[in-house]
Amino acid sequence: MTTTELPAERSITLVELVDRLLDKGVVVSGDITIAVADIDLIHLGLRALLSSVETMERNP
Amino acid sequence: MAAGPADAAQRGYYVYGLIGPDVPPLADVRGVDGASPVFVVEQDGVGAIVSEVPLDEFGEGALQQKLEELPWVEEKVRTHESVLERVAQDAAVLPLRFGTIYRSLDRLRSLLAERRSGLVSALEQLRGRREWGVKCLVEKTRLAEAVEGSDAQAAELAEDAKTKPPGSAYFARKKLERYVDERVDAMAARLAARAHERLAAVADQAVREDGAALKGAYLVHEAREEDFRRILREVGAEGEPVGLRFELTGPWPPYSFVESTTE
Repeated sequence: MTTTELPAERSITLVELVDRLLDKGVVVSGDITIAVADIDLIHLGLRALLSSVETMERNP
Repeated sequence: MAAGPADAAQRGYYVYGLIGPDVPPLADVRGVDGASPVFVVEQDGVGAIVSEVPLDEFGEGALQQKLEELPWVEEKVRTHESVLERVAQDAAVLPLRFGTIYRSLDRLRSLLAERRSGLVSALEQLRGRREWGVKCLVEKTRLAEAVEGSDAQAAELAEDAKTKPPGSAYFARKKLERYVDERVDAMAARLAARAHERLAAVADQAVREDGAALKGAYLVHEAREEDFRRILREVGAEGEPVGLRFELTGPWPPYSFVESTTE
């Protein structure tokens, strides 16, 4: 890998984004939050959906 | 509260992240509803980055439903992220998990006051540092070729598969496949672990997910970003001939390096 071949740092895939925003970050006791059990399910569901999309994009 | 007509006129406050006393410029930044301005609510030297949201979209029941719509989720998580990236240009920020909403700013202020000391020290540890993500993708056929070409035992089995009589050759070929598979997995795991160690050495903190191929997050001080990139180029150059490709993402707000549980 050379400098010019470094992947575009700003081309954030949605998978990376979802992995961080729905699975990490500070959890505080808001008035409305998504329950941990629910957010785990949502995260897994989105992950599954996005992984299949990603696989399709990588292997057209 | 369940979503319903009564929610339509009601507003809540969506919180993106927490910062110290210095308020960054946010004049033209819009929130997750696509319209409301983003602003800072400050209490005792800790600030929350906030925008108003309609509760018919972000109320408890509605939010649950919306989260099943991928285009909605994509738009909102991208906005959440871009607000934080904007803030991170000027300030250390503690990113909140997606979907934290308050009904009143008073409740939010009392949270900031209650958790002040923990928040201040967390922000202090993050100052000047950014999160980077590194993923290693393994092209197994290429790594298998590299193993076959450099491993004495594999070479011997390959020779047997070519020269022995059909029956023995068949078993040699099967044995070779199994042997190479094992070597490939072991080698990928070893190279990924080594890459992680080297990257982690210039990071303040590092985490990696389980599994052979690397998926790591690194909290790197700005003064060491050049070193981090250099090491990534080096491990990339070493991995390339044997089918390992390293992908970099970031800089991210430090999602992977904040306490994820509430006290």
